[in-house]
Amino acid sequence: MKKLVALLLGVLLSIQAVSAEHYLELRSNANAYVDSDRNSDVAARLKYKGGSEPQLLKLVTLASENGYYRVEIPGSSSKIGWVYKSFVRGYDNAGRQPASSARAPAGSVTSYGTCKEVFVGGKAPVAPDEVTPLCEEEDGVVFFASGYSKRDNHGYWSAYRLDEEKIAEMTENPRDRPKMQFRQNPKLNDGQYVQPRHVSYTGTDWDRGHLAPNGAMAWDEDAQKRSFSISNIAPQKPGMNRNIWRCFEQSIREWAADSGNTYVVVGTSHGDNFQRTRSQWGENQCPIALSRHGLPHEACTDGNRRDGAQH
Amino acid sequence: MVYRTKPAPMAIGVMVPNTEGNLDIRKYMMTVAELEKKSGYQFRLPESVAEQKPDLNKWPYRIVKKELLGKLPSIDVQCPRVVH
Repeated sequence: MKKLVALLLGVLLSIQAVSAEHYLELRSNANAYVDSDRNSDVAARLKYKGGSEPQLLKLVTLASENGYYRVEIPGSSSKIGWVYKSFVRGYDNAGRQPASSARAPAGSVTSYGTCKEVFVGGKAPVAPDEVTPLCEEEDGVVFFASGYSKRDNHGYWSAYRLDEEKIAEMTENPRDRPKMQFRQNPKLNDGQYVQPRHVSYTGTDWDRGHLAPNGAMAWDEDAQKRSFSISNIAPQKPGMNRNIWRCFEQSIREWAADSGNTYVVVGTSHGDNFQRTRSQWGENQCPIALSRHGLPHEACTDGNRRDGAQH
Repeated sequence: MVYRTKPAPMAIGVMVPNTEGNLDIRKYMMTVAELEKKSGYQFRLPESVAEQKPDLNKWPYRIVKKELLGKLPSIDVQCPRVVH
């Protein structure tokens, strides 16, 4: 009898294993290639429609190969293609998985986690001052990492990785800049620290300068939106931000077009003598420090204005 | 700091003053080792790459023709590529 029960259990388990279906959700336009290589023939061009209904791709095999997943082409159960990891998200049958930013407990970030993939050799840059590590990703798809300075109240640095797949997507299907304001980062909420807001820069004569630029995140709608995080900006002189810096960011994307993987770290450096912004700081707001090089640099630790700050 | 894996690992450091009136990016390009010294950052690259002097032929760049604000023209108008 015991043998029979064990046999039945074994049969049931095997039926479940065979019948379990796994899906990915398409989140960008993507080519499905014949092989797990962007130089192979295109089996199908998958168009991202947006909207609330998820566009599902059935996984043929669970494991990825060279960063590509093997999926069934929608509308054709016999046609198979390989889709790059950055353009899809995991999907379970219970519904869409929540964004990791929603899952992460506030103030709990202590390491870069999956964001290590944006660093050369998996090693995060070391900044001259203390930073709070932030990983901006969704369901394992990494957008960028940041080191945020609570002393200076802005992103100290951000790092991102471009690859040929992302560049191809941005070139073939250019996305507009989202019409949105910069948002506070929920991962910095620890009950004490008060983040700057979009309006903290208003009337300061300083731009809200992206560290990881919107233009380098335009391979994914969510990545673009996440780049509009208050932790990913630092004050920049408009004449610098909109000219030499804009042009330099464009050059980086051009370099990345045929460079395999391109790793970028954009940081701020303010030396010993740095100014603080003059702005209409509200209650519990601290002024943002301005750096002299790279990108500008400001900070709050306890919601009170720091000594010596200009207002 | 920008690091590229192809055609061979190479990296460049760039440090631009946060001031207006800077048009020529070449003035601010350097080795990553130099950037680390100037900025206090450590990028933790292999030494051979960090100390590699950037060959500008491999890092084609754009120079700003004239500093502009307001509605910006296309990149190619504002800062055309410099061809060696």
